[in-house]
Amino acid sequence: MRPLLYGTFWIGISLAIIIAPFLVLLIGPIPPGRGFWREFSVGLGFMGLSMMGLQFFLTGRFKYFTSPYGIDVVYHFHRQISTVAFILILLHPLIIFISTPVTLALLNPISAPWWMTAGTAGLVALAVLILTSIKRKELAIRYEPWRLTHGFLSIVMVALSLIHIEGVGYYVQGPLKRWFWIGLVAAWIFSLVYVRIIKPIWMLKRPYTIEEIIRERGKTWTLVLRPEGHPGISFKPGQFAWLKIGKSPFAIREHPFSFSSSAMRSDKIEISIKELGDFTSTIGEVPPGTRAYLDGPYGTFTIDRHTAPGYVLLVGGVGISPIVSILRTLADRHEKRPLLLFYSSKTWEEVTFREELENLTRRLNLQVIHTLTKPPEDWKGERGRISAEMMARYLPENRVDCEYFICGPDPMQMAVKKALEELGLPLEKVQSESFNFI
Amino acid sequence: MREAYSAQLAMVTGILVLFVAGTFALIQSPEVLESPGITAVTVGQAVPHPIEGHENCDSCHGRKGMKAYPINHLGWKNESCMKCH
Repeated sequence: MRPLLYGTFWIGISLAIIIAPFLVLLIGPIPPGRGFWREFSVGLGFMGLSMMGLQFFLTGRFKYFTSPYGIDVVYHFHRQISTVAFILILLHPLIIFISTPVTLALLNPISAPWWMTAGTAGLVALAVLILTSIKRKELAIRYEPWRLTHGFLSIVMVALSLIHIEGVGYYVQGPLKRWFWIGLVAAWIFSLVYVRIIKPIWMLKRPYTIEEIIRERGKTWTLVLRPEGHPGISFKPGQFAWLKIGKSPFAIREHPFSFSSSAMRSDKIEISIKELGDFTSTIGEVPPGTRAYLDGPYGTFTIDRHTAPGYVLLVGGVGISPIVSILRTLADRHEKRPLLLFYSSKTWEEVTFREELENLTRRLNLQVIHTLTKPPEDWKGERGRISAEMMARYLPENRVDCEYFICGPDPMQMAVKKALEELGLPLEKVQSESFNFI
Repeated sequence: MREAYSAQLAMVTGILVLFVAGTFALIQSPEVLESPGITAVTVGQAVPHPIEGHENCDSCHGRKGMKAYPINHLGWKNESCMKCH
């Protein structure tokens, strides 16, 4: 109930922030209207900018704000709402141009007033920002330069928009309105300062040392982190953190990874990483003794939020990392409830944590069903991807009461959700987390 | 599931913004509702009487004048009237 209340509260606050420019406009003397379409477009411009300013908070990883939903959903919402804001802001000039074609001359930077050129440049910056975010992979832009450009363009776009508003000077005259905008901009700046300066300073006081790097099956490496001069991070099984490797927590390079160790131990943290991209492919070369920083924990993909008489865990490849953390934690807690793990891998040799899972079956009421997409000829277990038919053969009779946790690549998650739907299982019982933050 | 909700919320927020902007535009342009024939880009009616010697618009068109201007004109100075009328 509490997450629902908190979630509703923050959604209400966000909507209020978006509409706030209008509420303030209605206070005190209001300049006369200049026609329906012009005022409509002005409204879209003001609220569109307000929506863009809100993104500084959405991506600031404020735990109070993200915990009711899960940060993956907050980032997903960030992408969706930014696109909506872009459309609304784009409509602002388009409506004016269509309703009053003579205003098209304002696009000429030589003859147009400076504040109009600022608005045009701000819109171009926003268009580039959105395009490079949606099409980053297609445009082959590497993560670090993209992230730097993304932050820079966000600030430029907002600054140019504010210059445009100030230059037009309509609806923002008067001390109350002026102070409102100053306050709003100050809040956006604070959010940036918090993310880029305050949080890294806090992390600087809480460093970790990479004590050991363990090679696992399936091109996966486990980093064993030891907190230096502090008690470590307290997390829930299934959660994750942003990892920065190197001397400075101010570095732009960081990536989200799930904890794979038991949540019952905060003095020795393990993070398991599969070799996938440009950063992860060199993770095995990191020398022991290297400094690291963690920003977390984050995520709602944890059994501690979902009480049930039994749990069904559905894993594809790299998704095993948070699941192992869940299982190790439950084993440390002497859990007795039944656990069923469907684990899809390519080959038997590539089954990450194969031996560890075997060990956990002795400590827990756990049944592991391995399924291989490229099995050897003499393989007697399940073959192919996790399907409705396969699950139906193993699920207990009280399957409707169980909680289902899916972790793996996005296509696998979609396929398993569809299979669960086919089995008539309520989607409210299905938990999943996407690591697609960009 | 939660992602679907977040996409819906983004859409609803967009629609809400369109609604609020539309309401605001209507408040600022009541003539759109009063006279369907009028075009939305009309700024204001031309002053139907000579202005010379009648520069103090507020004396006749103030809130207590014999032909008061609308409530949303409150606070505008005499010099501003001619910008739209």
